This record gives sequence, C-alpha cells and structure tokens, in this order.
Amino acid sequence: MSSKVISSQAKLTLGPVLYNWPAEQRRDFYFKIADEAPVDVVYIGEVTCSKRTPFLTPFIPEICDRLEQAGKEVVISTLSLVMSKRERKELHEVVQDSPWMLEANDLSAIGLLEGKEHIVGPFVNVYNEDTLGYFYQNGARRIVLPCELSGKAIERLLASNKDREIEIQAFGRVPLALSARCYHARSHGLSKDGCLYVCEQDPDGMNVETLDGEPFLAVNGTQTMSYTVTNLLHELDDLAQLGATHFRLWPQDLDMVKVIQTFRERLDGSLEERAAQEILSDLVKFAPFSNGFYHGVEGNHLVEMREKI
Amino acid sequence: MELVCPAGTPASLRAALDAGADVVYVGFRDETNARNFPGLNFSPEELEEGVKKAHDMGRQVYVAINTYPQAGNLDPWYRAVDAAARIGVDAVILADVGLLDYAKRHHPSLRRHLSVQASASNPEAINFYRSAFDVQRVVLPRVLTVREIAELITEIDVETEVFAFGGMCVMAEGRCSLSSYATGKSPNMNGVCSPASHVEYEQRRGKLVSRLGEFTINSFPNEEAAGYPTLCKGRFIGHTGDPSYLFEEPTSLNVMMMLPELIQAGVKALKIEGRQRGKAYVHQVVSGYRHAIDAAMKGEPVPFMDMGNITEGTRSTAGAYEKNWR
Amino acid sequence: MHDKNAPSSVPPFTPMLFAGFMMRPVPAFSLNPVAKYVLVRMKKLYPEIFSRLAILENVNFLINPTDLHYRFYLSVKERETHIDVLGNDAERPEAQATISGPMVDLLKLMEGRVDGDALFFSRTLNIEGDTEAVLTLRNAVDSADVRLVDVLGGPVPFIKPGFTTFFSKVNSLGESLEKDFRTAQRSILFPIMRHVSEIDKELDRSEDRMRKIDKELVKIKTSLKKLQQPAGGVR
Repeated sequence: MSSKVISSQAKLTLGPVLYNWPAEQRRDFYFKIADEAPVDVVYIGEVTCSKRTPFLTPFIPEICDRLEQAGKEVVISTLSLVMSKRERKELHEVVQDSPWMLEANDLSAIGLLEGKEHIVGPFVNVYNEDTLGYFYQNGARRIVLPCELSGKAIERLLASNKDREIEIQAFGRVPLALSARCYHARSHGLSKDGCLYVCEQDPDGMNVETLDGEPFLAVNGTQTMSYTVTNLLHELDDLAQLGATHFRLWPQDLDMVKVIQTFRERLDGSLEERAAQEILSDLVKFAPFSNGFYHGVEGNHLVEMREKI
Repeated sequence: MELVCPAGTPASLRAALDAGADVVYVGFRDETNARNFPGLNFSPEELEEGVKKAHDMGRQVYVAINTYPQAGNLDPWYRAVDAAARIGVDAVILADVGLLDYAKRHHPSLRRHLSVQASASNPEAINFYRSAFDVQRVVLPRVLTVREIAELITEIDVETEVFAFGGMCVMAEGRCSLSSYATGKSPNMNGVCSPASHVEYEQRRGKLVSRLGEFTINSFPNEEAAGYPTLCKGRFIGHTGDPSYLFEEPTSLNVMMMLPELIQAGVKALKIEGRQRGKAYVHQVVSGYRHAIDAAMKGEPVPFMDMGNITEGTRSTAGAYEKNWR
Repeated sequence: MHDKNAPSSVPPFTPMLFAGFMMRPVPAFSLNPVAKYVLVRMKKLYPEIFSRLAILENVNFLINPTDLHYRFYLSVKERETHIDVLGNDAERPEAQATISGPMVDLLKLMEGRVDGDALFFSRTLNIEGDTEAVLTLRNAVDSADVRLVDVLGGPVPFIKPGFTTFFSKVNSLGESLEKDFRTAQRSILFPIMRHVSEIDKELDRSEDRMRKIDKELVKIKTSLKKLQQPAGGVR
C-alpha cells in the first residue's frame, strides 16, 4: 500500500444522483451535503430518465441556493439520451434559462451551448486529444472523461492539455450503457410508458446476475451500470500529479458525507491510504470494488497495487 | 431509396454488387472500424479493386472509420481517412469529433457521413455535426420510432440512413461500455463488442453454454436456436430470481414490412448490418431487400420473404422502430 | 471442457453417414494424399485465404465431419497451412479449436454457399475451443469464391477415378437425399428423443436446485469476502 503523504489542490465533485430517489430524499441528501460535506462542486439534475424529471425540478432552486450558500459550485446536469419533443423542449429551456453552469451529457446540449462556458459530461465520447481540444474550443471549461478510458489514455489527455480542467470518475457504480428501453420496467413485466416507477425500489440499482448466480451488472431504469463500485483511492495520487483537477464521486445510498471526507483527507494527505480504504470498505456493503478500466483490463476487475517505490 | 450493404471481404463485396446493392460499405483491416474481427476487412489494395469494380458498375463504396481514435496514437485513423480519400471512395463514415474535424480540414471534398456510433438521436445533435463538420448524412441510432424519424427529418437538412436488417444493439450505439466491463475490449476503443477472443462455448449435458470473459452469458437447451454471445442478448437473473432475456432476446432487426412507412418518412438510405457475416448472408439479404425496395418504390405490396434461417436466434423484430419495444 | 455425452459426438442421421459406412474400409492414411492435393490446389487458386490465415500463430484445428469416420486436422504454423486426415479411432490430437458438423454443411461452408453464423444459430455447426481462431478461419475461407469443381478440376492423383466423381457429386447427392433422411430420422428417433427429454427434464430440475444452492453460496462468499477484503485487496 502506498503510504506516501500527498497534498493536492485537486477538487472533489459530487456527480448527479443517477437513481430514482424520491424528490424529498434527494432534497434532504443535498441539504446534508451542503451543510456537512467538504466537496467543491455539486452536480444536480435528472440524467437518466425524463419521466423522473418533473419530481425533482420544483426542488432544484431551493437545493441550489442552499449549496451555493455553503460555498459549493453548482452545475445542472442535462439528460443523457435526448429523443422526444418534450425532452428537447426541456433542454432548450434549461440552456436558455439556467442561472447555473450546465453539464452537457449529449451532443444536442454541446451544440446548443456552443460558445457558452459549460462542462462536458461523462456521457459524451472524449477518447483523444483532438476531441478534447475541439470541445475546449467549443466552450468547455471542464471535461469529465468516459469511464472506460485507461490510465494510459488519461495520462495522454492530461499531458495534451496542461492548464485545463479534467475530471475523473473516482468512486461509485459507473454508468456503462444507455437505452431507449427501460430494463427496470421490463424486468417487472412492464413497458417504459406504464413503468409504475419501479426503479424507485432500488436506490443503488437492481442487481443483475448471470445464470450461475454470479452478480454481473446493475440496472437503473434505461441505464445499465457496473455491479462493482469503482474506487480509485489508490490511483488518486498519480492522477493528481499528472494534472487531473477534479475527481467525481457518484452518489450511492450510503453515507456520502463520509465518502467525501475520506477522499478529501486522502487528497490533503491527512489520512493514510490503508485507513482510507478501510473506511470505504466499511461503507460500501452492497458490492466489491473495481479499478479495471483504469488499469486497461476488464472493468469489473480490481487490480492489486503493490507499494510504489 | 438507396440500399447500403455490408462487405467484410472482397468476395462479399462482389456478392453485394451482384445482388443489387447501390452502395457497399467496408472497413480497413485494423482497429479503425467497428468490425475489427480477425481475418475480416480490406487492405488498401483490396479496397482500391473493390471501388473500381463498383464504379464500373455505376455503384458506390463507403468506408467506415467509426471507432474512436486512441489518445496518443491518432496516426492509424488519420492514415485510414487519407487512404480512403486517395482511393476515391464515395464517403467516409465517421464517429469521433476530432476525426471529423481532421477529415474536414484535410480532405474537404471527401463526403462525410455520421456513423451510428456517434449516437446522434435528435435534430440538435445532428445540426451540430452538420454545422461543425459539414456532414452530408447521418446514420440514425436504433433508438427512434418510425414516427420520431419522420418528425426528425423535417427538422434537419442532412440525409438520413437507417438500419433495416441484421444485428441490433439494444443500447444507444457508441455509448456502451458493457463489453469492456466484461472483457477489457469495447466497440468504441477496439472496434469489437463481446470479442471472439473472450468467447468460449461449452457443451454441458446437451446444452450449449456461452461464456464471455468470466461470465456465463447464455445456455441454449437442445434444439433451441442460438445467438451471438453478445452480452446484452444473454439470459440473466433480475429481481424475480428467474433467468430471462433481461435486455433483449437473441434476434435480428428486420423492417421489411415497414418499408412503405420509411419511404413515406423521407429516409434516404437503408442499411443492412453484417460485415462479419458470410457472403451467403450478404447475397440473400441484399437480393431480398432489392426486390422489396423495388416493389415498395412502385407502390406495390412488399413481398413476404422468409429470412428466418439467417437471423440471430432465428427470429426477427422491428425493434425500436415500434414504440412498444421500449 | 469436453462432454462425452454431448450430442455433438452423436453422428447426425444424414446420407453422408451411410457414405461414411461405405468408406469405412478405406483407411484414413490413404485419404491423406487427396486432402494434401486439395490444399495445394486451394493455395494456388485462392492465395487470399492463406494470407488472411497467416495472422494465426500456431493454431491446430480439428474439423470433424460428424457423419464420417474421418477427421481433418488443419494446422497453421509459421504462416504455412498443413492438413492431415485422421481416422475416428486415432488418438485425439491436440487442437486449439474444433469445428463439428455434417459433411455436406462443411462443404457448403467452404464454398460460401451458406452463412457460418446461420449454421451456428441453427445448431447445425458446433464449435469448441479458440473461438477467435475459428472466426479467422471462417472469414479467411469466405473471402474467396471457392468452387470445389475448380479445386478438384480434373482427375485427382493417387486415387481411383471413381472416387473423384464421388467427391464432386457429394453435394448434389447429399442435398437430394437430405429431405428423405430427415423424415426417416424423425420416425426412428422420436420415441428415443421423448425418453431422453424426460430424463433431461429431471436433470433440469436438479440443476435448478443446484443453481439455487449455488446462489446462496455466492451470497455467503460475497459477504465473507467483504469482511475479509483488506484495503485495496484483490478480487
């Protein structure tokens, strides 16, 4: 285990809640984050399914105010798969009216935000320095890299854009795929139109097992997630030194304040890695950790890292 | 209505042209295209020959360079675009924003199509690609209904190409990391989904069990038709505790019966999937669709053609083109 | 894993099965020169196949026509392709990939008259071992317009003239007989199949029970692992 003490300027961000938590629960969650969590940026908004949007929308101004009063940077995340007229109309409205910065999660939003400062979200394909450069030119202030990129690729991207903001997904179940079809509804024998919001039953997603009973994936409505929980605590040090400016923690249904504190203390160098890992292990009960994407192997794997010299 | 047909080898290209393809689309033999399978695809010399043959017959060839260039290793993708331009193909099919930009700057007169891998599912996204990179055509992701396609066409000024037959992604194309989660190799980065190198078939008491990486994807009892070991078309266990096709059954897309609606909607081209399939498949599907399009364009009823033998799981679906699929 | 009870090892009831019976007295080694001749002709006529195969490093394929008493052993080694014919009673040689199916379908596949994936979907074709190598072979063979008539083109050396005719007529003969054989197959095999399916159902029920037990085990293991998982431990 690396016991090197690091101290980094890197910022922590809290990604948007990807699951269908009841609106009041989300509000209380964000209030707690505002009051207690040492996080620099908070993303908020319905990214997964537009059918859930109406429930959260009325609470957004109140939540954002509270977060801003607590000194957090607030970003509104847009929908990841935009298809219907209603979804497009809502996108146009938020682009025109939002007093807060936007995270574009589809090329539609990228197009509408051309020339305006914005953030490119993790659902937009950014695999190489040319694309990265193009999006910065287009108005991106910060770019969140896709989950499947390897450490090597991340390193090249960081090297190609020294003074720009780049955000890395560092904790939580990662979204792997989007669909027009709702698998949550399908697994309950329902259609997307008549879904009865069954996705609400699984605050961390619904586990999907193979025929051998081995846990494999997790379903969150139209989104398919990793079963494993990404944990880049060990890689944090390297990434910060290479120039990663932001680390994203995806909300899960557990004590996120504690997760954020642990990452913050680790970045500040006030907590040993081993102790930090133990805290996370105690918090995440529902699935094992993984860091395979970062190490260029199967995403579900956890690559053991030995002490670095 | 243009019929755009797949070819993984020069023999398939000839088969497609003989069967009445207006356009054949192909890829180079490397990671620059989304069917980067062993023993498949074209060398630049083979492409040159194929383009000559097609042009002699008054037909066209498109080249798919539709994976996402690797950070720090952009050269193979640049070279693929350069080669396609030099050989004189009729269009390149691209997905990556950086590569679109490269093609526009270096080969402004080379026609650019937006690959399905770019997942442009709405007018705003399509218009962005149009204004930024001057794309002439968009291959629509398989997430839209025919009605949505018709509406979309009225709001864009680029041609549309839609998938008509063959393998079907149930996820939004180009936005899926399921394969790399299980195998480390993905469509976007490596041009493969659920790659053969990670697939294993086992016979377990008369059942055919397919495994991908460390995960069991499916188990086909005796006599049941099999499918590709693509992980989104496997049997899994969700909240009910019983195995089911949680994402999608092994099935192929077939929209032949919807041809009149697609023509009505203003779709410019129909695409057949299957560069990885044999020339027998190419010949059968292309001939079938040639007849069907010719009939539909004349306003005649589309003849029923049984494609059961070549479809995955020996069944087909109109997929996302019908709303109840969702 | 090779399951001795898998149906792949039961010959399909085809005309070729009977052709195989008739050829039984012909020992495998005497077919070797024919196979080698065919390979030489193919290399000459369709070099593109072999240039596509060359990416394989030392792969041995066992091509197993399930209705014949012979197996073909095709190996790619240092960019060169070799072939041998083995009798079914010969010792099973080491192979990275096995392709099994009725001879007529294998020939159709070689000529590209049928789609390999389609044969696989319909369970006519069975593959085991290195799936990627099998795919490479399929793609390579499909890249040329192979015609057996051209390959055999004229009398085959080392073999009686009648034999060549037998080979070239094998396809049309096979196809015309296939239908009748399928009818016969149903009448002969149906009662046996019914019995087998009863047994299968019983086994399925046991398997279900096993699966449930397995699942419990995985749950227990996961929670155990969770307890033991050290910081940054290995999965």
